[in-house]
Amino acid sequence: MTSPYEEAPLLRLEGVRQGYGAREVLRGVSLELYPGEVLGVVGESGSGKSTLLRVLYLELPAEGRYTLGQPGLEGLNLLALDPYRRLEVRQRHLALVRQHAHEALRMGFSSLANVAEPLLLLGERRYGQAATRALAALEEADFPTERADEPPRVLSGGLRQRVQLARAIAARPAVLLLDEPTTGLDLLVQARVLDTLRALKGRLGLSMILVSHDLGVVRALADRILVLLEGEVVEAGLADQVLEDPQHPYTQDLVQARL
Amino acid sequence: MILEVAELEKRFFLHRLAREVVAFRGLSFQLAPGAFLLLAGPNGAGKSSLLRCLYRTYRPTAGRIRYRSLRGWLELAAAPDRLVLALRREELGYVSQFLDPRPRQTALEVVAEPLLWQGVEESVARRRAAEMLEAVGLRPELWAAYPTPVAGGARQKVNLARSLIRPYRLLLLDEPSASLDQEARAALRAWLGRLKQEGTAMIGIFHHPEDVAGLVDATLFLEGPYVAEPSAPGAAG
Repeated sequence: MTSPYEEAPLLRLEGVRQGYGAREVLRGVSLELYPGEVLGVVGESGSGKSTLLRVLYLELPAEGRYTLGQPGLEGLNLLALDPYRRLEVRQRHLALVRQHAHEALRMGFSSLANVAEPLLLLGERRYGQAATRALAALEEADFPTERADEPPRVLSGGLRQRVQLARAIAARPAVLLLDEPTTGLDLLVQARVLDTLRALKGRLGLSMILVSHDLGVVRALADRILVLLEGEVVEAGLADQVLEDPQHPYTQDLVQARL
Repeated sequence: MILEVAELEKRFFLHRLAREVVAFRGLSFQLAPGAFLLLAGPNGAGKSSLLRCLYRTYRPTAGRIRYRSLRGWLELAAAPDRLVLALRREELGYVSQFLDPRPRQTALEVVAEPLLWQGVEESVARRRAAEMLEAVGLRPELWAAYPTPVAGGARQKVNLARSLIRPYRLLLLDEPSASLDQEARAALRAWLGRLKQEGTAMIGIFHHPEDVAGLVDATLFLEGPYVAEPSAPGAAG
């Protein structure tokens, strides 16, 4: 029977493994991300969440298949690319917001320069044009643009995350990867950053993969949820389904453990 | 017909307790476009669980849910998640007793949001949201308030306005009138009557028969509550 609903995934992982032997971190992970959708990945520390995200960002080598449904990349296994091509794909199609801003930003450069940098790397030759686009991205990330000249070093944790977010969306990546984007922020700041992410999802139709140990954060954003345990996907489904009718014992414990 | 449910069953397996709970079983019924099916039965009979299975918040354990969507007949019980998301966006509605709390958003924004998702222009969406809030009788001074701290009844009006602002082919109603005052319940009844005339099929749980007077085409009695069954040893894990 053919499904009346056919749509090609934007991103697909098939049987991805990372690490070796007893230290294998990902044990055959498969997943799909569709255009305009937010996929939440939950699991405890050590489940392989961050490793998965780094593989998706082409930052870590891995075995298996990773394809992006983007022009020029159809059918190409990104994990088999040479390092130079991998970097190119990452710069053009992917963006990652990290938990710790200092791992992603130049803390001493102005926030505006931080956001403009990937645009210049992607071939924008006019600095003025890059600055204008960077300012627009800062505004989309709800960053107070009058502070765009200040370096991240002097900014609060919440504002640093907004600079990261602006940097990530400035060049309109095909997939936005988020690694615990609100972990470690004050509750109120965390809520505001989530509001921004939710607004971006609605306004720009961004496709995202969100990794978090916080079910509340995932519930607020995700359309579908994938549960990772010891490097394996133990459950995947609609967000409300996984949270309200969890099947796997681990997911049931996780949902029960909510405060 | 728009819906054909056959031998539907929902069981929960609680791993920690090594126990199985039957929400309902052996349910079969059909629904025509524009028809209204009332679910009746004691607490714990599985009425809400049935609605959640139809909306796919719960995974049905056994049985079939044939649904005639705009895309043709499909098997809802086994539909891929992507298809379910698309159906929810386009034609399948669910109104609960509770507003999914969306803090830091005004009532008007909460109601307009589903239209924005559909690509309706912001000014149009806000105008229609205001009309909808007026229809359910929310006082205008609350339109710009955050729903979280306002009274339960007012919050439920926001919830209803949000749920009913766009058309559906199949609308699932889980006690939407529970916390409403007399006036709002009458407004809801009138609105549902209008949807019915437009051809929306509805399945609902209502504890006051007057809330759906003149709307009900058929009633399905759920017998429960079902007794928890000890599960087979070794089934856990």
